[in-house]
Amino acid sequence: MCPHGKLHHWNPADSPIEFAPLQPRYTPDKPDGFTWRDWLIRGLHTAAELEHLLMVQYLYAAYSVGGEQLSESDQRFAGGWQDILLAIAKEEMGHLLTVQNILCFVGGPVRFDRDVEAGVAPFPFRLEPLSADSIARYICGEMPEFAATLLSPQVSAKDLELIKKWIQEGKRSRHAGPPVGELYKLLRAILANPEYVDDSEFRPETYAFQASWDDWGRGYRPPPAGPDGRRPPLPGDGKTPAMVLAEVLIDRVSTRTEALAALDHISGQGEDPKLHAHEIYEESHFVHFLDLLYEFDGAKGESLVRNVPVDPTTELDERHRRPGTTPITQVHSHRWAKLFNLRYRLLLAYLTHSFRHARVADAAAPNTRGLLMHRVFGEMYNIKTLSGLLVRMPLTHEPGDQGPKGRRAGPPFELPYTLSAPLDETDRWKQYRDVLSGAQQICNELLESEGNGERIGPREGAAYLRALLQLDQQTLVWIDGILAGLHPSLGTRS
Amino acid sequence: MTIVELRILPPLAIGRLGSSPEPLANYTLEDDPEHPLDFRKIRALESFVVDPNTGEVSLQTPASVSFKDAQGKIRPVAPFLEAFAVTDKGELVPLTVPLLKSLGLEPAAISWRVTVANRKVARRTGDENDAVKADTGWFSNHHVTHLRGHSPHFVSDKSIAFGSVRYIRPTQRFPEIRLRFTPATGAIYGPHLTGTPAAPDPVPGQHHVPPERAVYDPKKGTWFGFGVTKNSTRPQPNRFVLKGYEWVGDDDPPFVSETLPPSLFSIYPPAPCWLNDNIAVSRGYLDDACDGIVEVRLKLKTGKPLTAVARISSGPPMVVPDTLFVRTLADDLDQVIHGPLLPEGELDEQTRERALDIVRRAFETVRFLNVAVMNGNPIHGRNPLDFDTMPAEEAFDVQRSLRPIVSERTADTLAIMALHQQVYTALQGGAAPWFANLLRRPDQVGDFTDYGRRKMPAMMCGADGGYLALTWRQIRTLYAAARLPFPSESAEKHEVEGTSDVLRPGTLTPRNRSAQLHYAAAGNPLSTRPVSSVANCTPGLELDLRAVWRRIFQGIVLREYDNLVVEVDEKSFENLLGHRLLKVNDTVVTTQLQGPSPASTSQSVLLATGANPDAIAPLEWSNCLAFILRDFAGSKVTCTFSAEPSWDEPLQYVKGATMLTQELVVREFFEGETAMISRDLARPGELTQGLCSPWQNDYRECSCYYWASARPDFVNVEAQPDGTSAGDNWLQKKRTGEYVPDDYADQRLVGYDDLFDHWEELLKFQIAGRDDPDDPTQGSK
Repeated sequence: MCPHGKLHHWNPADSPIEFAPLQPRYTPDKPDGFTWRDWLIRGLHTAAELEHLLMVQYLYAAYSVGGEQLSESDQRFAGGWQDILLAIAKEEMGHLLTVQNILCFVGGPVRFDRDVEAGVAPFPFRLEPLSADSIARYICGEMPEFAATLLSPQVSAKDLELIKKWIQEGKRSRHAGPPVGELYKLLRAILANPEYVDDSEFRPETYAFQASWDDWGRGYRPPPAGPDGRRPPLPGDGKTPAMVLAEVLIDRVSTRTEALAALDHISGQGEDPKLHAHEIYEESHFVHFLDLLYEFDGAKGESLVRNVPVDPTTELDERHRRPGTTPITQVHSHRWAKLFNLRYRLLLAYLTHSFRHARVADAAAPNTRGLLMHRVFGEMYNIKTLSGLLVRMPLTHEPGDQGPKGRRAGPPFELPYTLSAPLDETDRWKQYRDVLSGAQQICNELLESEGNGERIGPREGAAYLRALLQLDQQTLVWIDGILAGLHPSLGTRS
Repeated sequence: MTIVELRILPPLAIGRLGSSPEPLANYTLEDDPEHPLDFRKIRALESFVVDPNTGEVSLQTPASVSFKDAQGKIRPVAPFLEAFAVTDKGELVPLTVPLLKSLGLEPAAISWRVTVANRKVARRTGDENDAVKADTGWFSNHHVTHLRGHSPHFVSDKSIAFGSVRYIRPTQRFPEIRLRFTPATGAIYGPHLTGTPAAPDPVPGQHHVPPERAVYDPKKGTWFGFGVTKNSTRPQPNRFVLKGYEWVGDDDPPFVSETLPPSLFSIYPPAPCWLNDNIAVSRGYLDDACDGIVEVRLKLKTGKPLTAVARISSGPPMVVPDTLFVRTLADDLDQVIHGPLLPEGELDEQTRERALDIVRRAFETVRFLNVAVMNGNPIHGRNPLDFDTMPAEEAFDVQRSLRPIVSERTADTLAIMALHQQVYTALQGGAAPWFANLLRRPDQVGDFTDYGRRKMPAMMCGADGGYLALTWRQIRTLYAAARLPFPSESAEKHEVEGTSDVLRPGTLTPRNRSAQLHYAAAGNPLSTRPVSSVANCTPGLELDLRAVWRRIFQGIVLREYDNLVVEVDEKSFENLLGHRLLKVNDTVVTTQLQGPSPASTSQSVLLATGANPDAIAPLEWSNCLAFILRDFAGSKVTCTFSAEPSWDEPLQYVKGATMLTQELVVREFFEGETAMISRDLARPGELTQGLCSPWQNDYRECSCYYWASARPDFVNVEAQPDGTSAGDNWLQKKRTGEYVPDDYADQRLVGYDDLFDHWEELLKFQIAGRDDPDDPTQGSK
């Protein structure tokens, strides 16, 4: 997979670029007012948020590649990049769940927010179309600290300059931090030391409640080696290269050793500079991004990327809009983008709820937790579909945006006004009812416009809306049944 | 214009049994674009009514379709077969009276002949005299011609009524030349026991075969009492003492080829046989299902007559008429027609549409599966081995502990169905099928690791006894769709010759096999067509398609489910009898069963047992030989056989081992340019011979993980207050909303003899996932 061929270790003095090792921002010091355990939990929260941030940025980058105007061969090329980015995003999801498991183990609350302060994330959060610049940032985010010594002389000087630029900006800027791996080193340093966190602080009994690969992995891991010790061939249709497959890691932990191994596992998948891997499963994100940068440059990558905005937003009021964001103002695109946000909100809500139910549900029988897990995946499919639709919709009403070369909208991934869930179970389900009803309202508005002869989006959008409406209606009936079971007066729908 | 060739369309028509005197009305299935996730809607179409006296047809359009009549009898599905002419202009046109007259001919120049058979007993006993055959001879009249099945092993004046055929009298309004096949009533026949050795004492409630249907003479044949007994591992003729079920014959009984699954016939209790050490002693029952050949002949004024052929079969009703199974007979036959890859030049739109259709049928199928039970979950704390599921079958076959397939807490029917519907919704929105790599390849059906078992389709059985795989063509469709760009805004729908859409057949031409196969003859409901028949034939419901592969290599006959050569047609191949076919060119025809290593989830081990030390599993022929058939039909291939006969032990290809090779010709699958399965591949009766005898036995015995939407399991499903699914077992006598898991002993479930006696009342049609509200037998039995 790596086009560079073999790499050579070289003397940093021979490097074509100047490189100063990054100083990790996290040291085993802790601020006043925190115990080590609390500080560990704080760090794990940051890790979870980082994984979430990275995941949505990679997803956005993935959906930005391609384009209907591309030739068939370019479509396939871009499709290969999309596969890589989606695989990495899936793996970040695995990291996110593993971090939640470690949080359960150390007795901390789960965290699905994305509110990392400046200077902590390796680069500022930015939903942007794939570019050499963004890939360079991703490399910096995932690189191991000694990466400079491993960069191949075959990587172009231009690419190295980009990477160098982001490393140096990271040193200067308050807005960019060290690679993600540095945080995991800090977490590891705290967790490894019984003087910081004693064994008595751990909650091994939470193992049963933690997210498991069985529940969440969905088949994304290498096939087992055959009885002869060989791995079976990668799936493919014989004509196109085998699709890049994610190897989703979701580790459950019941001991300190397992927790440390889980942290190492995450780090390794992110930054391991195993550039000689023969199999696609074993390449780290760092290596994938290096390969991607190389290919992107070689293929004049910009031509294979859609004209999607940076940080699209549904916020139309300038006063409330975050600086640097791009409003989606075309009326139908705006509605689709709001629908997207609602599905994202549902996904996060179902996810959090499933963790809550883990502690009360019988593992050996179908239960609400299992059903909520399915709902999470259902919303992931909506995210996928809506992303694919949004990147083909006009950004604004301006004439220049209506044609095939016009600016396009994109999935905004905006967080809801709150990720806090109601305390009462009944109120949680009513919240779902509210969000789904809101989604139905938007679907109906779009379909009404379509019925009035307006073009609401790509041709298949209307068929999707009809199916989604029906699916959501089934879900509402399902929720009403649950509510009636919780409180007989609350079930209303038939 | 002249006629150069005749055809009969459709080339395969499925009839369905029922005792109502009035056949089922014509109907089709429609989707509601506003509610794309709904059950398909049954829409009545114009139906032919045949005047009993004249044989003429008239049209009527019923307001709705009722599957049972007012007396609760099931309406049989009686297909029409139409004669077509290939003209000298290369067109395929209906053969009509005006066309005949233009050639100076009358309808009497047309004659028909129908030969059908029920070979179910012969398949088990290996005795050709147990085949029950009917032959009408050539006829040109318009009377009802009965299909009377005779066997040398019947009492001399007795026969089985296989139904009837009628050459429909053409009229001015309906001048087409057509024949109607009306299947039998679904009756059970049995042994004539007067004056024979004592039978086991009747069990209370045991089905009683009335004298007029006691046709089989136990003094002539061995079917009564046939089976597997104590101290024998092979099925045996009845040279034993019935009461003791002991084998008292030779030490080395002659080889009799068992079916797969084994002992597919009604037995003396306890049943099923696996509740009783696999002892299976036949009650000697037969049924009135059949399959065979319809021939039409046109005597021209000069020259040789023109003839054409088609196949008919009769089988159980389509009890879930608004649902199509994820892999149907149409899929398998389409793979034969088009090959396992996609047609060159197929438009993206068509690939995408087919991908959508597959996913649609996936969620339709899953609706009727009690996923929790089929997953191998413990039910009410009971041992999951008590219930017939794929994990249980797997555990028995490989002698390992049962493992649920997916996490138990996620195994819920409504949730899984909703997830499938979500996938379908995503595809509707232009998302590419991202899950193509999660499909099970046909050569991976023996992968019993969690990685393999969780591939899709999940929890169901394939024709080889392993986990179900789709056809190669279906899999390629999804892979191809996964790589398609987003739909073009300017794309228009085009008809591409040869590309099938089973619900909307393409242009009918002499060379378009696909359009011929899926042709909807006037008056024929959808349940007459291959799309209504399951394809994972273990052994199947309407047809056992495995049977056609037996003779795919000229000169030898394979066992339908594995690589044993059971017969040879040519003396020069006698040396191959009893040998195992291991490889055809480079295609190995077996796989090995592998499961999780106890040491590591990233490794697997062979699931060897004492009886199967190399863990060999046969691959189902339909997929295994798909490429061979595509590339070598009519040509020779190099077949590699085991060096020695191996009647009982499965063998596999081992590089470097001593083996026999023989060049054999691959037969053509269809006859000429028709879509008629070649007569060289299957004689009358062979397409149904692997099915259960009687078929009602299979409805009791084979659990829904074979054909979830055709032999349903979970019906009347609703969400409970905790969100999980609740419903009834299709076979439970009282609908309570509380599913009764099937351990084959629970008396709350319909039993074998209940079905033998009252199958028409007890088998409830399912409409929109629920018991048909129009069923007049609701509340009875």
